[in-house]
Amino acid sequence: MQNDGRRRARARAGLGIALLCVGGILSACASVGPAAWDHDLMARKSMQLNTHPDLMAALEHSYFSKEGASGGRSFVGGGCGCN
Amino acid sequence: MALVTVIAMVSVGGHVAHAAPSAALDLSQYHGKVVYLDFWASWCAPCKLSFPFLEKLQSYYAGRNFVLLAVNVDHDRTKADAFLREAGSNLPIVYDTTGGIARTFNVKAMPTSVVIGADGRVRYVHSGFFPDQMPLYEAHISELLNAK
Repeated sequence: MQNDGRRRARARAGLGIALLCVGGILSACASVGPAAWDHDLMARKSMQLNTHPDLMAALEHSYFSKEGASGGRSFVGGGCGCN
Repeated sequence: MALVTVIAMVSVGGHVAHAAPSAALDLSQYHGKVVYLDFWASWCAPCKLSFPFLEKLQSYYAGRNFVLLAVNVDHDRTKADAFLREAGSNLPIVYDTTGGIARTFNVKAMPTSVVIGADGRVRYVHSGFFPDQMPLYEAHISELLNAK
C-alpha cells in the first residue's frame, strides 16, 4: 500500500515537472521581436548588424582581391562560381 | 483599467510641463467622459498621417464629454518635441518614455488608439491608422458619446 502511494506521488511529481518543462518551452517563444514602442531603439545605428558600412566595404574588397574570397553576407551571382 | 498610474510627464497646449517628472496619468479624473488615448511615436509614418485627424477630432468634439490624450512613446523626448513643433500640434501630450502606459494597454502596433467609454472601460482599440477607416473611428466616438 505504501509503495503504491509513493509510486503515485512520484508519478504526480513527474507529471508536474513534465508540465513545467512543456510550459517553459512553449512560453520561450511567446514574445518574439521588440515591443511596438521599442522600434526606435532597434533602428539605432548601434543596433545595426553593420555599424560601419565603409569599413565593411573595404574589408570585403580586400577579401575579394587578396584572399580570393567574397560573399557570405548576401546572395549574389547565379551559382556558376565565377564571382 | 480606468486608473493608470505610471511615470509620465504631461504637457497641454503644446507647452511641455517640466515641473512634474513623475506626474501620473490618472484616467479616473476623466470618469464620465469618453477618452481617446492615441499612442504615437516620432519615427512612425502613419502617426504623422494621423495627427491632422486627431486635431480634427479634438476641435470637432470640443465642448462635449470628450478627452483626447496623445501618448508619446519615444525613448528620446527631444525627437517627440521636434515632431510636435513640425506638426504644429496643440494636442495634450503624455510622455511615456518607458512604455509603461503602452504596456498597460497592451499596445501591439504604432499608432494605436484606445477608446474608453464614459464608464471607464476600454470599448474600442484601433490598431494602426488607416485613412479610409476614419469614418469608423468617428462612429465609435459618437456612439460612446451618445450612449446613455
